[in-house]
Amino acid sequence: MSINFHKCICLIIVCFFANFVFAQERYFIKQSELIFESDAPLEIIKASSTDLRGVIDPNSNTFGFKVATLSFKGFNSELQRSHFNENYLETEKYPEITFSGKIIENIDFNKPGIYSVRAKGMLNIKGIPKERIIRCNVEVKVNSIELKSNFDVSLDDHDIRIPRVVYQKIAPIINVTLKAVLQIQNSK
Amino acid sequence: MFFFLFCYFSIVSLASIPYFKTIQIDQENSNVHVNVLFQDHEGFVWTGTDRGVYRYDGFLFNHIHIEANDSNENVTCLAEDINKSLLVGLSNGGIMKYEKGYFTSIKSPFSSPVKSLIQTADGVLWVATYGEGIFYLNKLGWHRIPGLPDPFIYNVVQHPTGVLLAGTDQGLVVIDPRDKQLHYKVYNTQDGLPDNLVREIYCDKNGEVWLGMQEQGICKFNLSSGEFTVPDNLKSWNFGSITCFSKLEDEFWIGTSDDGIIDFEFSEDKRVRTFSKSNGFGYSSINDILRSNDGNIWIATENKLLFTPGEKYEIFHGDKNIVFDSIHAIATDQTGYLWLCNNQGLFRYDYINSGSIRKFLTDPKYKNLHIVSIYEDASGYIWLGTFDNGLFRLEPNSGYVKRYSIGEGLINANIIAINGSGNKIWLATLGGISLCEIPDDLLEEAKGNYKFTNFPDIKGSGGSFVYCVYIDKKGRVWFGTDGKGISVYENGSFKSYSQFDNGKGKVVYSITEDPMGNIWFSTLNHGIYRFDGKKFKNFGLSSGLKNLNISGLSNDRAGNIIVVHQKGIDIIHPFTFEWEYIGKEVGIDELDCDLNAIALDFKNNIWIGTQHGLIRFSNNAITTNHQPETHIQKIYSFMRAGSGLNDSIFQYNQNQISFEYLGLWYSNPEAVSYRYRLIGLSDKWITSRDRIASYPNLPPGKYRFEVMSSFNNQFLHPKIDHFNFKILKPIYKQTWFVLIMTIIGSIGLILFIRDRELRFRRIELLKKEKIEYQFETLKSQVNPHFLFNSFNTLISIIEEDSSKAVNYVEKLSDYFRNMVQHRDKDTILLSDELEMVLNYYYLQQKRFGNNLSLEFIIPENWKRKYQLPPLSLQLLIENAVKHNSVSHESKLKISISATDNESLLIVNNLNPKFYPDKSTGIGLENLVSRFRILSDKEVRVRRTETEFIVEIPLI
Repeated sequence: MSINFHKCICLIIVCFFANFVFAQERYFIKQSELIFESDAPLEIIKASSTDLRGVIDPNSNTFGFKVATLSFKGFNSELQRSHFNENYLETEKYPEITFSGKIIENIDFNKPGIYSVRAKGMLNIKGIPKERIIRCNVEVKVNSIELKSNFDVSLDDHDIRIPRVVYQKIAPIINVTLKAVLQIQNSK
Repeated sequence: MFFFLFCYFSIVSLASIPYFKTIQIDQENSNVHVNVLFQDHEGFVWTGTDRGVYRYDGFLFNHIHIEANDSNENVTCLAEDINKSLLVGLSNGGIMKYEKGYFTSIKSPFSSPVKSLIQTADGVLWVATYGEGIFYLNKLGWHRIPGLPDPFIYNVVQHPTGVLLAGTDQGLVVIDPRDKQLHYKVYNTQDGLPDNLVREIYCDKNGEVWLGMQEQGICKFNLSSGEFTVPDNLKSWNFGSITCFSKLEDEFWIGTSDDGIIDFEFSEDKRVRTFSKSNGFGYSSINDILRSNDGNIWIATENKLLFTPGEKYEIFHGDKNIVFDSIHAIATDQTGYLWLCNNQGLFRYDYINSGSIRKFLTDPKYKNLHIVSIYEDASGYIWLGTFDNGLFRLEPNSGYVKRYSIGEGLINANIIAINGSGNKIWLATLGGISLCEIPDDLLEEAKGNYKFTNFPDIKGSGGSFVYCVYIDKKGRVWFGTDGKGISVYENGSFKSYSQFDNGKGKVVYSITEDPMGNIWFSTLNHGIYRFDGKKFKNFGLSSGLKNLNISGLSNDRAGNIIVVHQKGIDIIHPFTFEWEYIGKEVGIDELDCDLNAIALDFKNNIWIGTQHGLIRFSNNAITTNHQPETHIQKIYSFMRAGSGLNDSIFQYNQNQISFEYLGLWYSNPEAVSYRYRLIGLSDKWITSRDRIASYPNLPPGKYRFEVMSSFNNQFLHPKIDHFNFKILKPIYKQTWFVLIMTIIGSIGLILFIRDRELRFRRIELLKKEKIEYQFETLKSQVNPHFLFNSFNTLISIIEEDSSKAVNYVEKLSDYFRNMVQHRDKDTILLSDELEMVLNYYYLQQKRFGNNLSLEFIIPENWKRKYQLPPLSLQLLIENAVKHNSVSHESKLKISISATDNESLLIVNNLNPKFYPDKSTGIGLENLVSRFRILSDKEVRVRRTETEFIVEIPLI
C-alpha cells in the first residue's frame, strides 16, 4: 500500500512543484494557520505554524500540502519546543509533514459558495504514512478559496511514542485546526 | 402493623457487553496485526495478518508460511476459488494459491494491495486492487476494466444474479461480467447513494445488498430498482468510518475505524449498541468482523483477535452506582422488568427499554434486610421473602410496602421460596409451609390483610426445612425439603417421596417440569432426578452433568431443562436427553448462585444472578442439533506423517498407523470428545478425548477408519469423517510373487537335473576314454614288436655285458610296473611321468644308440607342481619312435620343453618310414579327448614339413 502511495505522492509533488507542461490554473496557499493542540490532563500544549505550503488542482481534484515541522511556534517553553522537535518528531530526519491526495466530492470552482468535502490522502508524519479521510470546508470565492478544517491525529498512528513519565502531559490524540487562503495562479 | 414508604428513585443507564475472549495468535510474536478473517468450506477460520496466514483449529494457530518472492507476507485479502482452494491477496499486489499444503504464486501485473478475489463460475478471476482498479484473469491473460470512476477499490462481491458490485471512492460500481464489452453502471450521490465512499458491501444468497460507507453509515441497496434506503434509526450516523460488517438475520455487527463496533438490530426493537474504547470494550479500530457458521463472532482489531459467542450470552456488571454482584434472588415480572436483590438492596431493571435501574426499599430501616426470594403475584404485587424478617409485599407503582411475620400468622420468619397460582400463594420456610389465600375483593386485597394456613411438618409433608415450591401445569404443588425428599400437595393432602434411589435424594433444592409433565428436581450432591409419576431417574456426572453443586433449575419455553451449577449451565433437551454445556468459553465458569437467582423473561431469555454479575442468555443459544465438524487431519505410519490424505496404500511393514483428527468446535474446543473405530479390525466405537488414534501391528487387509465428534459426549447428530486404506500383504505372501517363485524354482530344478545328467555323462565318457586309452597303451606296450625288439636288444646286451643286461631287465620291469601303477589314475605328477619316459628312453636307447636323443628343458620346480594324465608323454615319444625311422642316416631328436603358458612342447623331427606302421590313430585322439575332459585347455597338434609338434597343457 505504501509503495503505491509514495508513487502517488511523488507524482503529485512533481505535478505541483515542478514546472508545468500545461498552462493550467491552480490554487496556491497565500496565507495559512495550522494549529495543533494537545489537551492532556496535566498540561495543554498549543503550537501553530503559518508556513503551510500547498496547492489544489481543480481539474484533477487533487491536492498537496506540506509544512516544515520547525516552523511551529508557540509551546509553553523553549525547552518543550526543542523536545517536540528532537524527541517526538525527529525534525532532522523528517523535516516535513505532508498530506496529499484527492478530493472525494466535486467542487464547482467557478461557483462561489461553501462546500463541505472530504480530502482523502496520505498523511505523512515522521516518515510514517497513514491514509486519512479528512472533512474540510471549502469556501470558493472569485479567484481564491478559503479552507477550514479540524481533525485529530493519533500519535500511535505515526509511531510517536510518549514516555510513561510524561503521559499525563501529552494527549495521545492531537487536535489540529487548519485555516488557509489559496489564490489562483497561472502556471506556465 | 403496616406502614407507608415513599421511595427514592435512582435512575441510571446500564450497558451490557458480550463476553469477548482475546485470542493470542502467535505465542512468540504478540504484535501480529490481523487484517482479514475468513472461514473456509471446511469450517476453519483463517486470519490474514501482516506476517502471513494462520489457520485456527480451536487450539492452535498454524502459521502457513507464504514463500513470496520479495518476502512480503502482508495479507490483505483471503478468499476461495471455485475449486475451494484458498486464495491469498497481498499488499504488494501478489496473489497466492494454497493447494495441497503449498503456496503457488499467480503472477499479476499490478502492485497495489489486493482487496478482493472472486473467481466466477466461468473460471475468470476478478481482482479488486486498492490503487489500480479492477483486473480480471481469463484464458487470454490479465485485463483491466478501463475507465472506472476511481482506481481505489475497497471491495468486490458477486450478487446471486451474477453481477459484480464494487465499492470505490466515487460510488458503487455494478459490472456484468458476462457482458463482453464490460459495460458498468456507477451509482453515486446523484442516484441517492448517501455517500460516495463505499467501503464495505454485504450481499446474501437472497440478493439483499447492504453498503457500509465512510461517513453515512449503512444503507440497503435494491439492485433491480437502483434504490438506496437507510434504516430509520441510523439516519444520522455518528460512529465514523465503516471498515467492515457482518450480518445475521436482522442483526448487524458493524466495525468502524475509530468508534469500535456498532451492534444494530433493525427488526424488532431497532436497538443500537456500541462497543468501543469508552464503554469497556477497549478497542476502537476494527479491521474485520467474521461471523463463523457456528454463530460465533470473530473480530480483528488493532493487534488483537477477539472471539465472542455474540448476543447469545451477555453479562451485566451494573454501572457506576450499582454493581450487580452477590445477587441473592431475581424475578421477572409481567410488565417487562427484572427484579433483583443483592447486598445493596432491591432493584428493578428495565432491561427492555431504557436500561434504567430503580432502587426500592431505600428507607434506612431496610438496610440490613436479607431478601432471598422474589415473586410477582397475579395482581402485580411483588412478594419478598427474607431471612428472619418475614414476608414483604410491595406495590411497585406506589412503593407501598406491607410486612408479614409470625405475628401476622406466618409459620416462620425465614421465607426461602415463594410461588403461586391464581389467588393461592405458597411459601416455603425454614419452619414448614404456609399458604396464603388472597381474597377476591380488590379492596380487601389492596389492604393486604391476609390469612395464612400453615403446614408445620404435618405428616407426609416432609421436613420442616422447605427450600422450594413449584406449581405444575396440573395444579399440583411440589415442595423440596431438607431431609425428607420431595413432597406433593394434591387434592388437599400431601404425599412424600424420600426413599427413592436408596435415599440419595433427601435434600431437594430446586424443582421444575418438562413439556411431558415430568417433574425434575435437583438434590444435594446427587445430581438431578426426573420423576414421571412412578419412577425416579437420576442424572449425575456420568449422564453428562458437569457439576453436582446445583443452585437452580428452570425450564425454558422450548421445554429444555436449564441447570445452573458452579461450573456454568447445563441444558437438557427433555425428548432426546441431549446435553449442552455453557461455561468457561463464555466466561461463566465460576458461578456461585443463590437458590432463587434464575428467571425466565417473556422473550424466553434466561437470566441468572451470580456473585459477579447478571447473566442473560438468549433463547436461540440453545442449539441442540449443532455438532462439531469432524476432520481427519493427518495420517501417520510409525509416527511419520504421510503425504496428506491421498496415500491410502501401506506396505506390510508400515502397519502401525495413527490418525490425527479434530472436531472443529470453536465455542469450546476442550469439550469435544470423539468416537472412532476401524472397520476391518473392529466395528465397536471407542470413545476418547484424545485427538489421535493409533493402531499398532495391523494385519494386511482393507480398512475404513471412521471418527465422529461431539461437544457433549452424546453423538446424537454426529458428523462422521472417514478414511479408507489398505495394508498390503508382504511380498512373499502375494500370489504373483508365489507364482513367479514357483516357476523360477522349477526352472532351476530342471537346469540342475540336466546339469547333473551332463556331468554323469562326461564322467562316463571319461571312464570310457580312460579304459580305451589304457587298453591302447597296454596294447602298444605288449606290442610283440616292442617286446621282440626289447628282447633282441637284451640278447645282444647279455652277450656283451651280463651286468648291463640285468640293468636293462630292471629298467624294463620298472617301466612296466610304473605303467601298471599309474594307469588307473586320472593324473600323475610330471616327475613321475618323466621317470617313466626316461625308463622308456633307456630301453629304446639301448636299441637305437645315439640315433635317438631326448632332451628335457623343464624348470625343476615344475616337476612337482604340475600334473598331467599318465602315459601322455610316454605315448607321444612312443609314437615318435613308432612312426619315424631311426637310423644313422636319419636320427630322431625329441625335445620336451616348457612354454610360457604352463604347457609342454613335444617336438620331434620327421623321418617318415618307408613302410609306415599300421596306425589306428586312437592313441593321439584319446589323449586329446582326455585333456578336454580334464581341463579347459586344448592339446594342440601341429605338423610342419620337418617337425611334428604337440603342445600339451599341464594341469
